[in-house]
Amino acid sequence: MNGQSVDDPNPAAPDLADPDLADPDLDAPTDADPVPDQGPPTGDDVDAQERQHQPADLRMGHDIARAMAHHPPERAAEEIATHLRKFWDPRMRATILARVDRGEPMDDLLRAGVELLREGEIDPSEVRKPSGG
Amino acid sequence: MADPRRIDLVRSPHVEAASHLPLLPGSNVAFINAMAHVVVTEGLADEEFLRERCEDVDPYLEFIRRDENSTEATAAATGLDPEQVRAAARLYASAPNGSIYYGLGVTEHSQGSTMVMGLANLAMLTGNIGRKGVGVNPLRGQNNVQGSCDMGSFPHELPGYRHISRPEVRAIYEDLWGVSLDPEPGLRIPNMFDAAIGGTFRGLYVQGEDIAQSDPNLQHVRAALTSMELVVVQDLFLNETARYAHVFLPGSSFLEKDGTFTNAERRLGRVRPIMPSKVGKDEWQAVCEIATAMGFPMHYDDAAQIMDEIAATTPTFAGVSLERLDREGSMQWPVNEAAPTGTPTMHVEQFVRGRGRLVPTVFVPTTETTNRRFPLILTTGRILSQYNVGAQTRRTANSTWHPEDVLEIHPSDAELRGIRTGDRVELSSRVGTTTVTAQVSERMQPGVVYTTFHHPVTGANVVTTENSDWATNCPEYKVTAVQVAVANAGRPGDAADGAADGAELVGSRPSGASR
Repeated sequence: MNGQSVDDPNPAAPDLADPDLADPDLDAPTDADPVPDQGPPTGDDVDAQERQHQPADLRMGHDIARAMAHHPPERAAEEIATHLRKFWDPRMRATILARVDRGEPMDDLLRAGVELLREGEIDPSEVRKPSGG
Repeated sequence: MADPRRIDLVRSPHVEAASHLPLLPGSNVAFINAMAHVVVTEGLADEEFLRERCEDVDPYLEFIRRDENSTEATAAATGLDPEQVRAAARLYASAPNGSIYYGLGVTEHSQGSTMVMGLANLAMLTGNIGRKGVGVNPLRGQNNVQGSCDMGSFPHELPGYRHISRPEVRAIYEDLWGVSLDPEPGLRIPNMFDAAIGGTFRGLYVQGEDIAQSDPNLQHVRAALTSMELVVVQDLFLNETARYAHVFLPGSSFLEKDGTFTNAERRLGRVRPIMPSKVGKDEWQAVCEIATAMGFPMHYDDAAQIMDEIAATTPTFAGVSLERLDREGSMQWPVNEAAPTGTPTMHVEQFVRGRGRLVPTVFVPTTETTNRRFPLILTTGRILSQYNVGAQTRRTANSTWHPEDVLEIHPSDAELRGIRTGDRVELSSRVGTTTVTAQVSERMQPGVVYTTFHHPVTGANVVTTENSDWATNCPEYKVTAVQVAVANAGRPGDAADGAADGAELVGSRPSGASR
């Protein structure tokens, strides 16, 4: 802004006519509060505010994709599909499948997982043992 | 002791933690990875246990050795002193018996499931599982959470943690009852609300839970409840959810119940009525009558007969009956042919699944980040004298100790905002706003505030978000970005001295001006 660098020994007073300073973007991340950079990157760049108004299947789908993104892509897609088959109500599975059919924007990994979901049934070996105890 | 707040367990008359690790909310997985990193890189792992009892060991060790999991690299997320984390890891790994106890709140994060896997990894790495005095022990949030989970309260499971997709398991019930069961998972509670607003979920029968106060993003919950065609509430009291009920059925207290409660060590304890139900019916009788009215004649003579059906249909409960519990005392499941008197310790020779699987627990931070509008992190919790949403305890003299929810805030955060103990403050998040009384407290760390959710008038869950655990959909109650400011007319008597203009209040008041 105004060509000043942080090393400028004599910084001028902030120019309040500068729209960035007069009307700062309070929702932008700051240096003190960085956007999380740990963990695997995903294509989901929806911000924290927008997320609160996202449909649940998309929000939850992206959470699952982020949790699986550390696997190689094929394995990650399988894990996502298995999770959706085991734990999602058929209505929610149908909703997210329809989004893929309509070509709605979503994380590539999530899309790959949903495509796999379409192809197969639940693998009996995944549910053979009790999940608890 | 790892907790963002300096809670009473850190130091009280009979307890003193060797180490308190005040980690930042939302950084549990980074913390537990750092603990495991120290164990592995300093050669403290139990090699024999890993070799003989576990699987997928090498990929996990490769993952956990990475620099990203070191105490130094994770410090940015956890806010913890690396040396203190190393000392804690050495203390746990070198103890003859090391056991882990974790609070309910561990699950209330967007990585809650990952954290529980991380705890299991740490216990397996150090061989601290499968004998007396060790293990990973959840401290349950309610007296009978274990029991209701055991009985298939998950939308994808039948009793005994058996997945609903298994035809041979469904057949047990289908043959017994002469019905056919839907092989698909059902909806979890937050998804029921979404489906209600979407119009595909039209009726709800709520027993003993106050979802209109306990669940996150209350505006959304209330919109869902008003969207349904039929809401039936069965509770001991007319709770907040009862406001939305079309039908209210009276519940009964534990003093009127006949059956069992199961605690976190899988111990079934008898619950016996000391008086007949005041409403003239047991809760299960109401269920039977509703089923009968809907066309399925459901009948049991008494609670003992229901337990007999559980034993006949659930392998882990095969040897359980109320009569036997009365005669022999409490028992820990599995109680069956292989373990006729129950199972005090699990995973002794091998795990239920065979070998214990080590899972790489990559730290994926929550998307709920602070920024200039919401620079503080709110974490919510409960205190000893009130129970959950207070439906029961607010009606007792316990309210003398805890008459309202207060917001605990560190002195430096309070000073910056001109907040003093006793001020009414506005607590806002990306989702909603409420007002609450502030309490300046050094139990908090700077940047983190805390409140309870015992009182409906506060409605702490008005501000909590839609975020949830990636695997279980458990709401992220423990991490909400918020701002706190003195509320308009925040102090009694302020209006008289002319300083009640909200614009002047935030951070600009000379200290002590009004008192």
